This record gives sequence, C-alpha cells and structure tokens, in this order.
Amino acid sequence: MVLELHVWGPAFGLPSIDAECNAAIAYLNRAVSPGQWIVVADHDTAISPNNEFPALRDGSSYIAGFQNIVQYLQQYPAGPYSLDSGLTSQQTADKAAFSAFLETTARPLLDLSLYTSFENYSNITAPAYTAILPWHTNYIAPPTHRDAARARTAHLGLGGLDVDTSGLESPETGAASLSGEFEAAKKAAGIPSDSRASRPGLLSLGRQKGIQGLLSSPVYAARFRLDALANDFLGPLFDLLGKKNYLLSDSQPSSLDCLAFGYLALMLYPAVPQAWLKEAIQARYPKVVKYIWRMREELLGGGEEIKAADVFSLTAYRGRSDIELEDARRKIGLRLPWHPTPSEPPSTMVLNIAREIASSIPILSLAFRRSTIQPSSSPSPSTISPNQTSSLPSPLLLNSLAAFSTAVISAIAGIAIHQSRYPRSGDLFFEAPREQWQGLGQAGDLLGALAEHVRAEKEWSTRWQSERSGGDGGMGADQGMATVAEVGVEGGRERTHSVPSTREHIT
Amino acid sequence: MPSEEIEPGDNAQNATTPQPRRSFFTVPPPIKRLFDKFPLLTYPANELPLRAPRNRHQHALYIFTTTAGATKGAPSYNPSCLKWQTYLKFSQLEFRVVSSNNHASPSGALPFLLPSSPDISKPLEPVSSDKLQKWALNNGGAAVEEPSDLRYEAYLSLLDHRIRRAWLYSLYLTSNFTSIAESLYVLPTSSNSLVRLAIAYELRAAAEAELLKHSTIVNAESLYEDAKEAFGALETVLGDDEWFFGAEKPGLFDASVFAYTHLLLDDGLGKGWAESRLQNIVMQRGKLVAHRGRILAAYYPSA
Repeated sequence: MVLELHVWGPAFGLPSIDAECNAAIAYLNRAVSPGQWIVVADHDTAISPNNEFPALRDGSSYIAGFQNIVQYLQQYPAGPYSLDSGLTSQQTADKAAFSAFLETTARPLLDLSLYTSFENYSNITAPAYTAILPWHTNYIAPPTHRDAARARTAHLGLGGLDVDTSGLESPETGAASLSGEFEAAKKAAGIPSDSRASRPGLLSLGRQKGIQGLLSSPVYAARFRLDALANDFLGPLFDLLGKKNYLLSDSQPSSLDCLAFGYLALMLYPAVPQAWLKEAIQARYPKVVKYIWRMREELLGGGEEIKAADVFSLTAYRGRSDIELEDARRKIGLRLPWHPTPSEPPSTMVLNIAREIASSIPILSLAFRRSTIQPSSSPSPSTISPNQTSSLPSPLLLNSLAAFSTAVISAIAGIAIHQSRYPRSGDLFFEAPREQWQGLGQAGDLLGALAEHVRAEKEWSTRWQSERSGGDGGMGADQGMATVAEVGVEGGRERTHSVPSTREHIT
Repeated sequence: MPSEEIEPGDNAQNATTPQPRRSFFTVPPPIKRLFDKFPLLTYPANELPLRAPRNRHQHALYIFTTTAGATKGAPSYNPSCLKWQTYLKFSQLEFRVVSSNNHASPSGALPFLLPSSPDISKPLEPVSSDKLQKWALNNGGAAVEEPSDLRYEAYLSLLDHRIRRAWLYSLYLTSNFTSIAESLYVLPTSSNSLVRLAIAYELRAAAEAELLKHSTIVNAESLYEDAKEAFGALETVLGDDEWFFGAEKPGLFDASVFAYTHLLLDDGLGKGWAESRLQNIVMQRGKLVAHRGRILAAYYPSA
C-alpha cells in the first residue's frame, strides 16, 4: 500500500507553506523508500482527524500531525520506517525535549514573522496562499491561520507589528502600541505627559524623525523584543548542534532534524520585507544557516526551488498511469513524488462554501460547529468511583430557568410590539363607565319593584274606591285584591330579570 | 428715670465685692466641678480587628490554598503556586502563606509576594511570579544557583507545554473536574449556586480555549501520549542524580517538576483523581516519584 501524505501546497521554494508539513515531507523522503509514498498538495482539511495538515493516509486510516506520523511509521509493519532507531535513551529524551522546545519557541516566531506582522502577511504570506489554494478556500484558510497565530502570540505583547503601514504616516498614530495610544489620549486631554518618548529631547530631531523617533516606531521598538525571542530559540539550538553534523548524533539525521528543518527553513527562505528573523539567523548564527542548507540537500534531495505552478501543472495528468506521471515529474524537474490533487466535484465545493458561510453567522454557527474535544477512548480504571456527584446545580435547572425567563420576556415584548403596531383608537379604559350611575344595583331593582307595587296598590285602591262609590259588590273587591297580590308577586319575581317586561305586565 | 438711678447703684455694689471677670465662654464652676470628675475610667485601647494585617515583618506569599493549609504552610493545590512556594523554600527565605485568589493579584494571576517593609508607612511593591526568581536572589539568604546546562530551556518547555496541557485536559475536561477542580476552585469562591455554575463553565471554557491555541482539535490520546513521553524524558535526564542536571542543591527546575508530580501523586487532592491516567503515567516513573518524596520530606514535613 502506498502511503499518501497530504500537505499544504508549496511556497517560498519549499515543498510546503507549513512547518510541520515540511518536516513530514523531509521525514518520509528520508525514511520511506521511493515508490512507497506520494505527496499531495491538498486544501480540504476535513479529511484530517485533527483538521490540520500534514495528514498521512494509509488505506482508509488517517494519521495527523508530525509526531503522530513519525510514531506511526516507526511501528509500520512493512519494515519500520524509522530515523531514530540508533539513538541512546539520553538522546531519545533530548529528542522529546527539543521537539517540545521547537513547538513552544519556534512556532511563535514563525507566527510573528509570517502571520502577525501585517507587512509580511500582506506582501508574502497571503500571495503564497493564493497560489496554492482554490479561490473559495483562499477566503477561509489564510485568515483562520492568521487568527490562530495572533491568539498564540497575544501574550507576547507584540501587537505593534500587526499594524497597517499606512497608519505609520501620521505621527499621532505612529506609536500604535497601547502606551502610544495612552500617551496620545493624555496629550489630547491636555495632561502633561511624563513619558520620555514624548518629551522633546536631544535625540528627537523632529516629529518621529530623530533616532528616538526611529527607535520608538513600532517596528524598531518591537525589534529588541523580537531579537531576544529569536535568541531564546536559536541559542539553545546552536548549543545543541555544537560541532556535530546533526542535532543529536554525528552520523545520521533524526526526526528532530526533520522538525528543526521544517521550522528553520520557513525562517530563512521567505523573502519577507521585515526580515528580522532572517537577519538574526544570518548575522549571529552562520553555522545554523549552513546547517539549514545541508539539511535541505540531504532531506529533500536537492536545493532547487519548488514552484507551486509546477506542482499544480500535474493536475493535467490526473487519472493517468504512474509511469506517465513519473515522466512528467522528471520533465518539470520535481524530485519529490508529487501527485495531482484529487478532483473535487462541484457539489462538494458548493457544500463546503455553504458550510463555511453558515459557520461564520453567529447563531447558525452553533449548529455547524464540530466538537473540538475528542475524549480518550479507554478511560483508565480508578480507585474512586468516576460518577462523583457534583455539588453544583445541574445545567438543566439553569436551562429551564433561562427558557422560562426568555418566554416571559418574549411574551411581554410581543404584547408591546402588538400594541405599537395596532394602537387602540381613543383612550384606553380599564373599566367601562356605567350608564346609570344613580342605580343601586339589585337593591335598586327590588326597591323599584316595591315602589311599583305600592303604586299599583294605590291605583287599585283608588279604582276600587271609585267603583265602590259607583255601587259595586263586595265580591268584586275581593277578586280585585287577589289579582293585585298575584301581580305583585309575579312582578317582583320578573323584576330581577328585566324592568321593561314587568312594566308591560302591569300596565 | 428711676431705673437709671438704680443701675449705677448695682454697679457700685458689684464693685464692692470684686469677682474675676467672667467671659461668655467660661464654664460655670458647678459644671466645671462635675466635668473635672471625667473621665471616671480610662479603658485600654481597643484591639485591632481580626482581619487587620499582622505579621508585617514577614514576607507574604499569596497562593491558592485552603485556610487550614495557609496556617500549616501546606503545599498549594495549584501547580504554578506550588512551584514558587517550593522555590522560596529552597532559597531558605522566611515567608508566610496567605490563601487568596486571582482577583487579589495585581497581575491577575497568582502567586505574588508582598515583601515585608521596614517602614510600615511605606509598603513595598508586590512582586509578581515572573520576577520572583530575581527578587529571591536579591533578598534571599541562600542563593539557589541554576545549572547552566544547554538543555535546561528545552526540558523546561516539556513541562510548560506537554505536561501542562495534559494537566489542563485531565483536570478540567474529564471527570476530574467534579472530583478535584470543583471542590478546590469553584466551591470556595461563592455560596450562590448560579455563580458557582457560571464559574465552573468559565473555567472549563478557558481550559479548552488554552488547549485549542495549539491545535484545532483537543485529542485526549495524543495529549496523554505527549505527557507520557515528557515524563519519560524527565526521568532519563534526572538519571541517578539527586537533583536535576546534577546540581548540588534543588533549584527552580526541581520545583517545577515537583509542582506537577506532587499534585498528581497526591491522593488527598480534592476528592481524589477520578480519571487517573495521568497519575498512573507518573507512578510508572520511579525516579520521579522518589524525587518528589525527597522534596516533600525535606521541605514540607507537616504535609
């Protein structure tokens, strides 16, 4: 089975734009016999288990990261591909220590040099990415790498490098560091500044023009810090190299040499405008420069430049046989076993673009976010039970509380919006005024019924009296009285329902 | 007019019995006699409140520790605090330990040291952890010399990078968070359960963000493998020496290693290690375990 190494494409004449990719290419080129491996300049990191290159494909499994690849190849069944087999235990320990050392010190230096520094990034790094990435990835991958580099170097306090050069023209924003802004704000507020830089001194021969002005410009102010950082990295490496041919032994390169070459080559070869890192190596550690040259010869098999256009011209041979590809490589002059990038169907491209756009939209991105933690598959048994009960309230409580308050707030907001959109005509009354204020309610109805009763009785009595005077019988009077009582009871009952109907009855 | 005649008469009477001229402010004698009896009793000066600073003559190291641990001088439960606490003990400086948290520190991170000042009215500036070594060298009794080994920086990066990241993962992103970090970092800060929940969330998010700085995915297997390799390398470089890099006396590197090995081997940390993979890695390194034992016996006899 042919091992397939996926890396970021070539840049600066080196096989890859990334330090670990360069290291992995160097390692495979040295350790794995030719014909047993190929290298692919790829851009879709989704295939890699850790979303980064280098990624080694062996059949269906992928291994990501330089250290993991080296470890995997050392235990590879088809003849272990190892460069570290001849090391003593002390050298193995040194290899582990200096690998960590490279990661902690060389990585921030590269970040500062190629990504954080605006001048270098816009002039060198960004165009190099454009050459190796398809158009849509070019909007995503380089800014992501730059943001990661900024996050890694934020603690160094060298944000002054990350400044648009056009900002340097005006003296007010000249010192764009934090203290510069502070001084400018003080000056604007009329507070006498106590900083030495803003006091007119012997050395300042005009606005930001004297030696002091020159030295306080962000590039040079940072220069001292940068040189100190570069020395922190190069000094111990120089000491380790000593008089040996390689970092660990005198006879053969190890995986540490590959890793060191990966980082050092990206410090030396790119023609950056702010070349403080390159100058630091060339001026103070000429032996390290010679070491880099030698490693390039030995690990990559020749010092010639690798051009991105050459590598991508191989895409014309996609799907052809290996022999044709071999011929094409020899014709172009590529020594490494480059293979054309596998063609990407348009649907995948559209899907990738859609995913990237969605993941940059605030709320939608939550749905598209991949889990960033891969827990250990085999948790080790412990003496105490792993199911410790937490004394914190469960997040469920908090979530339900949040959901409840959100519901309440959105209900109030909804009512408010409804009110503002459909305002009521006229004043808002919370209780409709009564039409008959004088009424006494049910008591009034009862009294009214009593009054009717009294009136009807009076009427009857007057009628009866008039009839009596008219010479009527006692019989009629009795009958009349009974009728009145009947009407009175009936009227009283009816009254509680409606006044007019009783009136009709009576009248 | 008779009134006018009387007044001169009064004056004459006064003149015959001469009295000291009284001003408006003079206290009348009866009241003065009464007040002369005061104070009836003078009480001794009140004692200072309990939380008033005492022991100003001693340097104070502010670290993460429990209140009981502060009085005993027990090892801190935070690796970077324990490193400096141990280093100051190596340099044989007299100091006392104060339980504190990050909010108290001028730099935003513990530990920091408040030096004693000969003049109480002029307190000295607090010393943050990155200047502690220099401060200890300037003020210390016994100078702790650092070995000038060319591999010193590289092995230090093993600790600060590989082991620290495995530690962060193991402590904050596994079940150890419930058993250790919660009882040490979350519960003492507040008694309000909502605040506690927020702090716990922030701690875990901060640990994850720190780990994601160096890789796009946090992979537990590779973190543990890296830590295993790192502890192996440390054991190799220690070899059969008593202290790292063949030094006569323990130095900052020994303190840095001890800060991690001690906490990983300490079963009494919090409620114990629920996910003990990192602990097992250290236990397999007998020389590192012995190194931790030497420091614990010599410098933390009470613990």
